[in-house]
Amino acid sequence: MAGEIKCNNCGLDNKPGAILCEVCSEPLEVTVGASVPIIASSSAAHTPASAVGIIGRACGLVVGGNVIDREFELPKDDFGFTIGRTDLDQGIIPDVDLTKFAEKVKIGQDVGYTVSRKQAIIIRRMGRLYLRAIGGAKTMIKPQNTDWKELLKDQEEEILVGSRFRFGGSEGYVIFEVV
Amino acid sequence: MQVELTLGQRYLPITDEAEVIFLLRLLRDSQKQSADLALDLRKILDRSGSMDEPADGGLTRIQALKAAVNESLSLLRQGKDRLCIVVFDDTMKVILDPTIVGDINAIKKLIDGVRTGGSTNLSNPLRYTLEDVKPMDGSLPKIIIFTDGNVNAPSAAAEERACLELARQANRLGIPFAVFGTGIDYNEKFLKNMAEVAGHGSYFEHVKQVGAMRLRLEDEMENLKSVQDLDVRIGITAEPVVEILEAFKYVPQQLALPVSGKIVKDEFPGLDVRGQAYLIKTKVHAGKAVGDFKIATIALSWQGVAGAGVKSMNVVVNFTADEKLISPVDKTVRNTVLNTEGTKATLSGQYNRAQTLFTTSGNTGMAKKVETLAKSDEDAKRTLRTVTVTEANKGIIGKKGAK
Ligand SMILES: [Zn+2]
Repeated sequence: MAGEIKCNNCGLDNKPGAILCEVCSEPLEVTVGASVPIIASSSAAHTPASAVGIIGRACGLVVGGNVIDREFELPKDDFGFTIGRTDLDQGIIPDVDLTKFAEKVKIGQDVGYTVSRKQAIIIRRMGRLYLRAIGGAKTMIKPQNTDWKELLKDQEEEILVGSRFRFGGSEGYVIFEVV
Repeated sequence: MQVELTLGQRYLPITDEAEVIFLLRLLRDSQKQSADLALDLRKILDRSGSMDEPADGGLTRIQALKAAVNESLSLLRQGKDRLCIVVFDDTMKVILDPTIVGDINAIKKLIDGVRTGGSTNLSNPLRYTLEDVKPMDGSLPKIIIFTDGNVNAPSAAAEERACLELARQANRLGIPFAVFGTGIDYNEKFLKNMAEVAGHGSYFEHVKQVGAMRLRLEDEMENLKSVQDLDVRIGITAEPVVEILEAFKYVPQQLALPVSGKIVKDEFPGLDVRGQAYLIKTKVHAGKAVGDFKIATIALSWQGVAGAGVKSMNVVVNFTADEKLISPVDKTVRNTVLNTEGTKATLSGQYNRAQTLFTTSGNTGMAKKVETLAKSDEDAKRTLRTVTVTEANKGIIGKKGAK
């Protein structure tokens, strides 16, 4: 069967995922590489009842329900920054370039992208962070402990540690979590 | 606290049964201060007759120990940390009542005055440090034991039983032990067992050169001072179709954790600069499932400087028919498995197997230590056992432990 690993010492076929032979305990010859550690989200972190929430420092990429990598840092001063995909023809270079996540998707008869050239802005005001949708592909946000909701163009919502946001529709999307 | 989960393989081929191995690492949050709690050190030092035997540097064991303790005093913070020192042979003597550190020279004089004699009764000083020394609010307690002999007064069996009972009491009170033995006359199994029973990050180490106790004591104090999150508890619960085969933790030393049903639990008093790491091996009855597959849930709780914290995360792999997606085996996870196995082999005297495993993981330093020390005398073998459990996996922890 696919994925079984034959032991060079005793000949046993070992289960996928095995590192040592189940019978003779010798190291198996496997392809070795480096993976990306999954970073735990702080979404369940207790905060004192009086506090509103923790201001995040970065956004992590969410795959399979877990934050797998720290993708980009959040602004530390009171300037907004744009999130989107680069389009050199139109001279658009966002502060946070999500081109690598922008997959071509079919939306009805048209071809669209999971991330727009101008997708959203993250703004820092009075030490707090907000995500504002600026059009194009769909932007959804999931504040801590509540359901997903859509952010319409020019709407904004505060983001805190544990907030998730999603760019793109049901055809294809990318999710980030504030960490 | 920063939590990192590394899967042996995230994408696996579709299969009936798979092995899923994962490594969970807890690290201090680099942006936060340490808890800055007072240390509450209770030292129990052997002064039995055998401590007059020669040690390193032309000193006797007791001379080297006194020098090491004296030199390490400067790391205690005046007006903040508390120290208590008890010496023992067949009787015990409190040479320093629990005292907030002030005049270090006065403490040194008391230590210098210690004389040797008699046999070894450890339970009385242990009982004193557990029962008579009153708890100190907002502090990190630790009982530090140094001995060179078998507990034997009134009898070895009765004394070992009494000490193990006190270790259980320490476990209930949450006061960890650091147990150090030197020479080859002490009962290594018993001291190790005592540390394991006391739990909460307790450990045993063999000390080849008594003078090295200075570094051991200094490491201990530095580690305690670096503690950030307190009272850390972790629970790993496997899904119904998943069996947990083995579980290990690595700080302060490699230790196999008991698996009860589908659950592995651990707790320790504080997350210090070394962090903490767990390796979990599971067998998954996947039944040819396709797509994301949940293996286990990890639940963590702690007391932080800014209040209580909890975190939970899912361990999820993916079974796929697409061969191009199948992940290579993560190097860190594989090396941790090999080093863990190498340590187990060393402890059970399978030195050739240990050497092979350490060499395969690229841990040539450890392979060399096994080669050299395994050929040597009992003192060297005790050193080797301490070195492997403490250092074989130091690559996955925040900072190396014992020197
Ligand atoms: Zn085999």
